[in-house]
Amino acid sequence: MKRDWLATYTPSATAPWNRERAGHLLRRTGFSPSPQELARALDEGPQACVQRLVQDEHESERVLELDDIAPSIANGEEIELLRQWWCLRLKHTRRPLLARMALFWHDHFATSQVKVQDVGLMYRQLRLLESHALGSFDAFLKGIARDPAMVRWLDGNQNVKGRPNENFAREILELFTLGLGNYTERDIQEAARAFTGWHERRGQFAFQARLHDDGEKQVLGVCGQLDGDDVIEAIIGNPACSRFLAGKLLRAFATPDPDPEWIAAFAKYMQSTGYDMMASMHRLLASEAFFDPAHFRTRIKSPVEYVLGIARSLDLKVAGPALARATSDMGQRLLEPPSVDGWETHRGWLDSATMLVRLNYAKRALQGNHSGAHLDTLLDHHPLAGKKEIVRFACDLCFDGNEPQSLRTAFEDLKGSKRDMLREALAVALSSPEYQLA
Amino acid sequence: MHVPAAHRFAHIADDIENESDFMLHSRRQFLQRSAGAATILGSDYLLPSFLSESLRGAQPDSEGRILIIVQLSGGNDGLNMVVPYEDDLYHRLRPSLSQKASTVHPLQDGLGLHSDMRAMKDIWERGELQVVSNVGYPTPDRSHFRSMDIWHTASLDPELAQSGWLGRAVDGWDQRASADGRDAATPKALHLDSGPLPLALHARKRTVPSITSMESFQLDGDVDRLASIIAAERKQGSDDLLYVQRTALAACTNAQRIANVVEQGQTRPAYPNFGLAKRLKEIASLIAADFGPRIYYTSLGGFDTHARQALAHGPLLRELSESVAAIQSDLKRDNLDQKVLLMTFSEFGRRVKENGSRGTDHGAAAPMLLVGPAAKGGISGGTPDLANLLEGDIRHSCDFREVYATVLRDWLGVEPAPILGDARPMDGLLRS
Repeated sequence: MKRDWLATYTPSATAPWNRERAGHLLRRTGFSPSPQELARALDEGPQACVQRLVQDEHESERVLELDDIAPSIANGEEIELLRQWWCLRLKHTRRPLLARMALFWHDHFATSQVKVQDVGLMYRQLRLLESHALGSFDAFLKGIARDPAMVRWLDGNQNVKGRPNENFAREILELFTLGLGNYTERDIQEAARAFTGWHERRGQFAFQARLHDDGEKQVLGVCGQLDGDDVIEAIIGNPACSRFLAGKLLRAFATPDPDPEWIAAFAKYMQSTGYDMMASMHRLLASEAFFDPAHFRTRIKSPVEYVLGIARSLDLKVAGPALARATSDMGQRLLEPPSVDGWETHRGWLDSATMLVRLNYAKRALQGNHSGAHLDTLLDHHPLAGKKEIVRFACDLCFDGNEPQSLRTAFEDLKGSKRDMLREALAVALSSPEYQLA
Repeated sequence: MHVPAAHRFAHIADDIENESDFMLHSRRQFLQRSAGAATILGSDYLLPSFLSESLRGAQPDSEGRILIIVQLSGGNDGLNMVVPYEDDLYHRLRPSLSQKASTVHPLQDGLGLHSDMRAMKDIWERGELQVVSNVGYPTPDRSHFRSMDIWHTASLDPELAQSGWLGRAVDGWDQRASADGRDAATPKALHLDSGPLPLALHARKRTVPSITSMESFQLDGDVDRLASIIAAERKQGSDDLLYVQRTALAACTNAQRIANVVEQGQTRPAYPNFGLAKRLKEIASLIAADFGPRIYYTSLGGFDTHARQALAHGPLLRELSESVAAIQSDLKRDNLDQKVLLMTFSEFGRRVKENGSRGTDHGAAAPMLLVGPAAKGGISGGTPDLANLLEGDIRHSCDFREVYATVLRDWLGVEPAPILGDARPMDGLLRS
């Protein structure tokens, strides 16, 4: 029998709505949950929880404060401040899925300050990613093709009639929409002509009619006096686009190695919604296939997931510089992806050097000046009588309540005050190989 | 090949006997603890000997020759690096970008080095630079990513390749070492750069270590205890969990070993103030300390010069030549240059005709450089034929896999066929 990849998950005796499933949903759509977040999700049940995650939610006071100071950062010249601002927003947001989608698109439309050299433009692109993150992909592409940071990043200003520059045309086909093998070199050359004159002037998108080639073109089988929007329509009409995007979303949110039939089914659904990302993500996250235990803890966390997951789940008081530095040192320097192909995710996140930074972070996260007091607060909130309860607390927080057998000896060795034991139990859990997986 | 566990543990025991009293106690505990991990990771993951290496320190292979790879990322304009300055077509196709005959550093056959490559010319004068012209592959791909993957996997279908060409060489060394029951754990390759491990170094058996600098590679706290927690047996571990476990163990062992090199306090001469020079300097100190790898890999980025190329390309070529010259003379000082060969490559060259933005677009074939006393000293492959282009790009007259095969067989002493298939080694690149 053919599997219905889009069938909705309903809790049952064999597939109960429990810590593991709720934890899976929250890790994939956000970050490692705090005990409160997990309790809320368990209480809501899967459908209501997914509904809340994809839809609007009032932002926290801290996020609103951060938004108030955004213009002064955007008008400045320090990309590091914007990076810290973003990290703090990730720490305090009540819309984790939106945040994760924005991170996904930042990797997808990977643009780097190294070439753009304008903090304001990077900020505006980030806002663009967020505003389209759960909208229609069609409008998203039209927005990104006019985004001043993107125009600078892929040499749009050099793309003029008679002297086309292929950079943007190549990447929109290869990396943003269709993938290799689904277009020809000729498609790239003609698409480049369609985008001639799509420039950036003084930080704004500017269509330069004089420099635009309005001659006949043929891109992906569509003929006419095509301009950039026509090329985007042709791309959207090409089934390879939905397959490419469906595969990438599944790899990012469901499993690193999705079944081709799953990709095909999800692609078809995505197309049927007119590339509505909110509807598509809703369908995916509410599906039985998504909650298949075979996919639990199969993705290696990105540095942002790792660092922010620790900070959020333990409600650590961490400043922006520390968050930005930790994620950068682990290989994810936000706003400066290594190339237009984004980061190499999953196993690509880890080598012995970046793993070393994670190991050091696991240790340092609970060693700062405030951490002693913070551990005391945790002990106040959670009456942990002794070693057994402390280990249980760490395992609830980090492993959905299951104590990894591999850590048993380390947990047995805990000694000292309750505070010391809690610190050590968490350090052991956070530096374990198991915790690197989401 | 499977090695009985007892055999491998015997080696660990030997290593412990050779250790100083310091740390002995905790290391023993560490090994007792991690015995469980050995049974699951077993010979497939080389864990026991891998751990043993952390106790031993570097075991230099005095015969071992070393290969340094410098990747020029972004598509280096080979035509403006090794310049056919006597060819009128070159000057005609590059009205604003051509290197003038009066400023290039002449080599032979009408070819000369870019005016900013003075330091490389000195290496040429010593007979230690071999240029391999027009290197590429059939049906060139002009995507950065796919072409880079092709060079890294040495396969025209990189999607099908599971590993990189250097990773496969590393796998071979590991296999042989473990078959001999010898230590299989000295890292055979090291990536010293920012950014992720290049695909070329992806091995099937283990993670090749990757560090941004020696200084950055220090681990907090009790490393032995941490390693013992990480090494604990995983009964139902997925491949990904085992990958994480191996990588984390590699972090522990390599941190210890690099701390040893830093402690030895190698003093190197001054290098020019370039990023590449800084990385090559660290590579030189690791080589001088006999850290162990036979392959070092680093890169220089920024070669994707679509617009206003001259502003960027000259300084990059200067950084390349002065940095390479610095490590050559440093190694010479210690008489180590004889065992080191340096090789450059880029994912493609650039279009012969310059574009309208005083830059160049993605092209095809380009020269590779081989540097060191082992290089033959000369140019193979001749001058590029600008009158006979392929879609505006230089045709390849030499397949990059033949250069790889030559370096594997004639320098590293590795049989190329299992790594590269039927690519034939070339004559005349290296001194025999």
